[in-house]
Amino acid sequence: MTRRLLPLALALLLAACANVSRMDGDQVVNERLAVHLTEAWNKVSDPWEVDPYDTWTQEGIPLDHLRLWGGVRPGQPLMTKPAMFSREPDAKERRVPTFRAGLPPEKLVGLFEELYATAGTVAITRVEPAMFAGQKGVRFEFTLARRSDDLAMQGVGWVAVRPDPTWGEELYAATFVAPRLSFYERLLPMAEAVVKTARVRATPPRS
Amino acid sequence: MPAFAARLTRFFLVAVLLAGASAQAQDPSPRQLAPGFSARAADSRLLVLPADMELFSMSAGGVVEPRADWTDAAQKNFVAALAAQRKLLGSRVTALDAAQADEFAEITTLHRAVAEAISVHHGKGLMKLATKQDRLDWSLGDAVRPLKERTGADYALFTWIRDSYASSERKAAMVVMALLGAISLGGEQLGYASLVDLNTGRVVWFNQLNRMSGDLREPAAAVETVEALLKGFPALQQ
Amino acid sequence: MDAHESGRRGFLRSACRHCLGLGALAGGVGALAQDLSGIKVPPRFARPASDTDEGGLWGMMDREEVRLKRSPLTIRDKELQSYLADLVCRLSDGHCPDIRVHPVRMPRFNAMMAPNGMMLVWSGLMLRMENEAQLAAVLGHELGHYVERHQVEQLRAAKDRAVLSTVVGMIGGVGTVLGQIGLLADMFAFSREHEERADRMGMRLMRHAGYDGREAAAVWDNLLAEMQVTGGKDVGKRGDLFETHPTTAGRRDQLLKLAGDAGGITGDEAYRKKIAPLRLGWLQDEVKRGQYEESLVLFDRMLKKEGQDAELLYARGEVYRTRDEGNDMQQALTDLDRASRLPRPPVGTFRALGLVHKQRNDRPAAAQAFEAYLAQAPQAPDAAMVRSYLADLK
Repeated sequence: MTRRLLPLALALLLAACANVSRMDGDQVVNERLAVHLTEAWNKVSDPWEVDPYDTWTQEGIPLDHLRLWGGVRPGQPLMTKPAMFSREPDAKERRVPTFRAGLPPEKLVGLFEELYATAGTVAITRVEPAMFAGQKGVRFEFTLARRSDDLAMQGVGWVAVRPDPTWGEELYAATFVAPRLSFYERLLPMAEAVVKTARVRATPPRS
Repeated sequence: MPAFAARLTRFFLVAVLLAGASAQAQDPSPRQLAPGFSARAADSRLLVLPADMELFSMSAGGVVEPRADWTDAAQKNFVAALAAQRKLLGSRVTALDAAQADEFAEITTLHRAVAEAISVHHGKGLMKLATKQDRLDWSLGDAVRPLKERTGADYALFTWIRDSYASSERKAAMVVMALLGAISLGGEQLGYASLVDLNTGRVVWFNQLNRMSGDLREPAAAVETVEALLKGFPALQQ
Repeated sequence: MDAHESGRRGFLRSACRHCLGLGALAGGVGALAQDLSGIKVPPRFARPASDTDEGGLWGMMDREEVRLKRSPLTIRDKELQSYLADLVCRLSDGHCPDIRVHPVRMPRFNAMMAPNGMMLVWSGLMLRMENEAQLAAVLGHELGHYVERHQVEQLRAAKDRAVLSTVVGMIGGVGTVLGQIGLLADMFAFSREHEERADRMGMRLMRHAGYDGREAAAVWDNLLAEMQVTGGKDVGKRGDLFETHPTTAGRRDQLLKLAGDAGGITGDEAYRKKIAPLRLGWLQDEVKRGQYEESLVLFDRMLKKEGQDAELLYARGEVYRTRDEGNDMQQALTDLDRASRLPRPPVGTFRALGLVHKQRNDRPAAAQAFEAYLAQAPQAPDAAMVRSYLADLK
């Protein structure tokens, strides 16, 4: 029996052969959300290409992340089912936050609240109308008490829905989360700089 | 070459190999140091935080079981071994006990996350952050200010150790499996030591330990573990 | 107790020693309360030496308890803490000095106890209890595991079976107990035998403290109803939910037999008063779980007992509004409207009403509700959002 006992995050990442690549200049998420980076970020690649969002980081996965969703269609989940390393006595299939057409703004925010609730205790502290990716949407702020180590995190998110002739609607979103102490303040401007440049990329013609 | 020389050579080779094998994570290197940092100021004060330590026994089937007696002994041995490192640490050393350290739990929690980021992203391999350009470039920023204000220290030393020891049945099982060609593990020592500049919050030195040897349960072996943990620890400027 | 009494009790005790096996509780004794005094409560135990396996567990749990006290999930309400401590004290028949009770903000039905005397009571459990007797039943059950030291037996059994380890502790400490709660559940998943023994001990403790033992069965009835909603009618019978716990339907029957008709305190009013200040937060946590069917079963049950409760109506309305399937919006409107007309509806009621009206395109009603919300809570986190809705509606 080969059994490496490593810090869990490391074990997961190594086992999954994740890798990190440098991002700068023009980048596109899921072929639909275009952003422009003036400062470089690090993209953590999901080994099985399963997560419906891109994850970027400045200081590392245990610390901060910038997640980007581009062109999510109705019926698609915003996250893959959280890996159940735990077995609570009454555990069942967890509902995963899934995008549907016709969701009003507060329900869109609710999807992200559900998403982060899997990582710890979430409290939404602010919701206001805002533009994102050139669409009218919502900006929200939240706190997260991370369950794995009790680290107090702070977060901000943007979400907008765009009508689409094929799918009815498409969702575009970004979230940025970092430790409340010192890191969030320092890194927020960098995240906001990226988000400001976000634009929807027109569907390339089918070839 | 004369026969005795060949034997000596073989002996040295083996000794070097063994030393290398057990010291794989210990090469002191510039990667351990933050850019621009090489030594602590001559009259600087060092704060040592209680080691975050847990020792486990691994049974034949791989059941990992916490051992409070080992952890207790290890903590005592660790403190003694650290005290024995006076020359390395310097004379202006203070320590916080567990109760005092608990008041700074938020800072310790933050540091633990930073240390994890360094462990994951500052090693070799695919997880390196390109934007860091291979530098040890992490900082807790002004989060450390309460520690500085309370203790007046210039640097803080954080340590973290998780150590498993194969029980005798486990060792027997390992021998059998090795004979069968399988690699089986038990008896890993994981840990890190991290030096934080309390004036800036920067992690100025970091050493990671990941090896199959080391024993904190006995005083003499604990000295070796502490030495391994502090390999490359920045000296005081003369 | 005089000689005559002890003679009679002695007879019952010896008879019941044989009775206390599964299925041996014949229907004939149904009318009599089971004499549980045959169950001996083990005396207090000393801290085990640190070089034992139990000592290792204690040491680890002690460290986790320190972390737990700092966790944002710990409920710091002093009144609730002392209420729980007092209840457990009365239940634990002498073990009181060794036990510390920690209420925690976790929205599911759970309670657990570690070998070092640390007890966790989840807010989801406290929300689901209808009275003090039901809470006593669950806490008594946990005390049953504790006084008979089942966790250590489990660890020994695991070692004997050479079960692959869960990586307890190697991942940077157990995190918080709550964070790794699933790992602990794995580690401390009890055998059927342990669960049955804990049920019997729990019944013994609860009855001796004067509570009505039948309330223990009610706990499982209610839980079963919730689980059946997503698990189907057979859930609990096939034991598919808990691999190592006895089926809940069978468990309920066992508990009823153990309880007999003895009666006792249920403490409905006292309990309701105690949790009143905290209940709204727990209701909101439950809604946030996003497990709507289960939440509806729970809220329906609670509203059956207390139909004019603004907080409950608000919570159920929020479930309907959030789920938004079929006829849900109409249901949400009914519940939220009723809540808004009761004295002191929760602040979110008018906001929720506004959102429902907005969805149904009833613009004047929506505007009115939003204005009422902003009047109540001008500094609400989503005030800016609500103001923009109002601007759109006008």
